[in-house]
Amino acid sequence: MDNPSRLIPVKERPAQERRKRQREITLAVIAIFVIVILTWIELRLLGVNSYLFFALFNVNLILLILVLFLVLRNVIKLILDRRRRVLGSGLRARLVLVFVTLSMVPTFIMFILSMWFVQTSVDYWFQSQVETSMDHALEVGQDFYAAAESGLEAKAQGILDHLRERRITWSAKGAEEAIRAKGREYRLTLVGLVTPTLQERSWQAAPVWDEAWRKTKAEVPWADLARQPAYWATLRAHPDSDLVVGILPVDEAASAFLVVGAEVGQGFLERLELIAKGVGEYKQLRSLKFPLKMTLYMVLGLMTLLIFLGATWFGFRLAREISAPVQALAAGTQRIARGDLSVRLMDDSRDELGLLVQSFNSMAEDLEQSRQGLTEANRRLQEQYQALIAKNHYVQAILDNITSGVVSVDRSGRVTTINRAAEAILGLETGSLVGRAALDMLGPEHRGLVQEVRQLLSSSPGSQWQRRLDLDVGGETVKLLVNAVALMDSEGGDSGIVAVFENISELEKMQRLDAWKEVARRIAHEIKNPLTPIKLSAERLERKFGAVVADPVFGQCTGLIVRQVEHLQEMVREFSSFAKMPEVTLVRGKIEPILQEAVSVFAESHTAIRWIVRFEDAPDVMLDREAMGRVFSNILLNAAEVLAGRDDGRVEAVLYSRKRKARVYIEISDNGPGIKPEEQSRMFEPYYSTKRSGTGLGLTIVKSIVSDHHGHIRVKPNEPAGTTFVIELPAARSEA
Amino acid sequence: MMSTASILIIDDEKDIRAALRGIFEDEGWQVSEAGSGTEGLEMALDGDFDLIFLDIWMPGLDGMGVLVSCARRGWTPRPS
Repeated sequence: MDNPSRLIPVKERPAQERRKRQREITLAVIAIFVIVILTWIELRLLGVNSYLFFALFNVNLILLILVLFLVLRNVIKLILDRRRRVLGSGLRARLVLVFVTLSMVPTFIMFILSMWFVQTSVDYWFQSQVETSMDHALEVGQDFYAAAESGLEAKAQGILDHLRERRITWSAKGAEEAIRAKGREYRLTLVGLVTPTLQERSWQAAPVWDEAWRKTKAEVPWADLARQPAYWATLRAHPDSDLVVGILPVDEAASAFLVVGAEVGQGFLERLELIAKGVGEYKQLRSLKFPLKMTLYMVLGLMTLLIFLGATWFGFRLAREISAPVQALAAGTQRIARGDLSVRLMDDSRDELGLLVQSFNSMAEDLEQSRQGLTEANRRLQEQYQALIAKNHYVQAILDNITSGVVSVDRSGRVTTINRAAEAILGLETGSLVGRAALDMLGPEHRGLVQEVRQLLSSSPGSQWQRRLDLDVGGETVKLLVNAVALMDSEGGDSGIVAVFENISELEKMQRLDAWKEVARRIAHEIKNPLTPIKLSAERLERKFGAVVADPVFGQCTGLIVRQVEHLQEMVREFSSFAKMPEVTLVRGKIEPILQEAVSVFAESHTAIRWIVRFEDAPDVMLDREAMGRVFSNILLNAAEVLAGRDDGRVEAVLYSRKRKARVYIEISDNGPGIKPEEQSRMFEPYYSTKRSGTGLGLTIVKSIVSDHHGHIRVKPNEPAGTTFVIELPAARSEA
Repeated sequence: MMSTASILIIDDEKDIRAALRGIFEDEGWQVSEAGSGTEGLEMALDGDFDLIFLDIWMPGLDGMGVLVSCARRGWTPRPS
């Protein structure tokens, strides 16, 4: 059974991670593409020459947006997790907070320092001293240039003056010599004349001028100079030395142009140009001072935010990485706490948290194994328990269904088991005796019994104790035959006594009744027969000699004989009817009409007595109508006889049911003289009679019939005076 | 009316038979005795009796048995 949710991954699965990486790469490619497009658009629209700056700015902006997105996403996720109380979110939140704080402090310090630095350096760059010194440098350069040019003019003028003083004609041979000498004097590297037809004459030139002069000659505005004769000068850059050329028209440019040239030092011109260009650029830059500052601030701000957000995002990642095993551990622990011991954590890292995860897994496995063991043991116990219960039920069923009473007591004399029959025989409520001391239910005369039994059984193990006991149960004497044996546990130790007893009172009564029936039958047989001839003979004597014998004694005696014989015959008839009492045949029926009829008969014949009949709602019983009629007649006759001669006699017959209509009771009470307590138990025995006449068989017959109806009859004193007979009969079972 | 009626007493008890015989003879009637049902039935069928005293409870053939046998032989209740 492989439960898919059994394994909790500590980290995201490789497939997930790969997908995430791919997504990040795609995002980066898109970001670069966007940067290129943005840079191009800015260049086209703004046309500012610092492209690099804008590119950097764009990169930063894009990265910032990207990181902002990531951080925001993580923050929202974390807040949601916190809300839902996801495991580990607290730890993650704290880690992220620490990261953010740690990154924020240095970044902001750096940001402020950079701001200050930018502020001061930009201000420093654009200080006015720089500007004026640059201007001065340029002016110096230009002055030097002007000086070189004007110096050359003076020299050219000097040569011209010299020639005029000497009145040397231009064409004369001495002219050339004079120019050359003057040139040497003035350290001119180029000196010569150019005719109006642009022919060089008296030409003295250093080799550097070969190329330079040709180029200069082409540039010189000869026509302008011829029209408006004036000094003209130019500077010429040359790899070896910068050159200055001056052209002075002679005689209003009518005769010739004097050309002079000198070297002014290496790279001078070039440097001057550079200075001029630098000054120009500086001027241009100064107009951009404010935007530059602002952009620098913006870049700085962007960088700071980037670092800050990047740190935050990294904090999120790190926090997730650190809290993932903790989170998995917490989830696993929770599941174990809920009872799911099959949970395992998936982690192959070898660090301390990995060790923790491994320990967790081995713990969960141990727990699972021990629980399996427990479950197995529990199941086995349950089986054994069930078997034991079944066995117990079986034993209990046996105990409850035998008619003998069974009571067991432990060593301390407390009742451990008592079956239903025992409770019924002893007239106890169900379950009221278990745990009580057995002695409590015995009368004081039987207190020593348990001890006696114990002694006997311990002195001769394996023997059986048997005794007949008379117990008083609810005012009725119950005769019991008790058998007791000692209980031995498997080690042979004493674990109490088990007593089995039977109620032999009924049995005993039946036996006595049977004996009496036999007696009655014999009496009827042996006495009845001689009585008839005795009576007949006495009557014959009376008849034959009554008139003859004058002595009245004769008549009195024969009359006495006849009457006594008749009485004897009556007795015999009663005996005979008792002996030949038929078996009752039980049929389902109602008590009410039988009782009513019996009472009615007596009400007619004994008018001096008040006869009352009351019926409560009572179920049917199984009865023999004739026999039950005889029962009521006998009891009513009894009452009528004890009330004879009284005018306040009262007999009440009541029918009712109890015990949820399981039992039907008939109570017949009189207000006669009542019976003495010692008479109560003997009343139903044959030949017991308190009356002078009568055989004493009436109540015996009643008892016999009630027993045949599976009922009981008892007698109790009536309040305030008299006797009450209570007949208890079982109700008929409800028809199926 | 006849001066002497003839009577048969069927009873297993000798004392009862004797007491009855005495009483009937006092009246001047002719009395015959039978000690058992079988003997009594035989005599009743053979003789001509005006009245038969029949004990019902007897060992052997009892009174009822005797009556049943008589009825089988065509005896009918005497019209009163």
